[in-house]
Amino acid sequence: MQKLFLILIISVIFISIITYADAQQIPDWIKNNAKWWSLSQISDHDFARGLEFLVNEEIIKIPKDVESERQSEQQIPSWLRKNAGWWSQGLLSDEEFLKSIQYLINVGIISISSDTKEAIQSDFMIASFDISKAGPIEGDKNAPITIIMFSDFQCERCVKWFLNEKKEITEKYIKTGKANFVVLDYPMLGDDSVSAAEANYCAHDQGKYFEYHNYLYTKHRGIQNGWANQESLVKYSEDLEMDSEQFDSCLLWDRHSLRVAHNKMVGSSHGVVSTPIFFIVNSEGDFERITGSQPPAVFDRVIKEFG
Amino acid sequence: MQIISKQILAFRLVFSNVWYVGLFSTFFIGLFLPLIIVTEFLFFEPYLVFYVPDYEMDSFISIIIISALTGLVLSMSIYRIRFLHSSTKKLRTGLLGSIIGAGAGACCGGIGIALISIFGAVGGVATSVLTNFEIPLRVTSIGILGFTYYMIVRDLNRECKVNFD
Repeated sequence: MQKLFLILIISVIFISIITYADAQQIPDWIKNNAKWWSLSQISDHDFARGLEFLVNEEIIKIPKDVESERQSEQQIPSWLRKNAGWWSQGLLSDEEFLKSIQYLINVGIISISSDTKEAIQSDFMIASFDISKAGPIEGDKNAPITIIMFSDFQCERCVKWFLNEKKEITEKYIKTGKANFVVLDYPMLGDDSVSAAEANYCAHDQGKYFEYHNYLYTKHRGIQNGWANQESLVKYSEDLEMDSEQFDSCLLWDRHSLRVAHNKMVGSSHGVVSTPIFFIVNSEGDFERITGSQPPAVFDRVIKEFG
Repeated sequence: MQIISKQILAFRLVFSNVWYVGLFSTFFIGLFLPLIIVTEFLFFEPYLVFYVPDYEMDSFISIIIISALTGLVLSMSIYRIRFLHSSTKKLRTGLLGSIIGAGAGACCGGIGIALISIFGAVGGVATSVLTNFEIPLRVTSIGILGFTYYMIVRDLNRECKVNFD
């Protein structure tokens, strides 16, 4: 019985390691993108970003002769949509899907830019971080440094960092145009974390992203104890003089649930498991990770080394 | 005055033996170090940083008190068990106090995530409780440890008559 139990544990660990190794090759957010693209929920352009990532990471290789004939337009045949859907559902293996993409690139049907720097400077990607579903960027969009924060509205340390430490970073880097700041959701402390993240985008629909974001942090009272339930979130929208009916309906119909899930997926694909976690990204696409609510001095040093 | 002299007697009795000073240090560091890592006062990446912000000072002080009391209570309890053949009841009470204090405030970092991923919904509830009641739990922990310490000092004074001269 003990031996059986031991074999079971070893098998679980072994399978986990294999799954992890496999998952590392193609980030989950790309599979997620494929699923949404197959359902026409995101544009060809957004899907192409995922393919660009695979090219940049050299998971898909572009033959030299094809590269030289690279086109600026991205044309993806519609039948690939079906394949993407099957792949996202696990009906098609990673290898088979990659082969089909590789084939289309080889014969020149799909043309993907492998220029990393262009991708970095785009509105959707900052290095390998897909911020197409994030909230608005705080600060100068063209700043040479981007600070990406993965946070959960119910996480006490995220709140304390944001309310106490961020001021110095805002003054030193964001207001001076040396860096910009973007928050990606990583809700992990219960349903209210997800609701709060979705509510923030509902506020964004009414043009009050930053106001609502900061207001939520000042209202933090712990984890799953009612301060971030739907009723409270709607009340905060009233406090900020928003259209509460529109806000309520947005929350009720989970209008931004895919957006929040996507952002969480971006975090997971970069090894985020707790909050807050920051990534300092420079213009060349290199990034440094800062785990936890660390002081501004650490950000200073990282930015100085990167700058 | 009598209380202070009782403390001194108990201290001299237990910690005149260097082995118990080592035991105290081990318990103190063994609890203090993991706690300051979990509560994010000590960071290893990207640089080694020790940082206690003003707004977290109460939490940091409570960690020092809990670690020190745990070290005292456990080493004194072990002394009583070894030399006076007392029961392990106070040792167990001391351990309970330490565990409560150590768990409090395990929010979004390592322990909280481990609890959620291992125990699922139950772990989530545990994380919520540990976070929402961080300060009351720490106070309870200090209360339990303080009371246990008082009882141990009282017992040591009652059970031992030592002439240090």
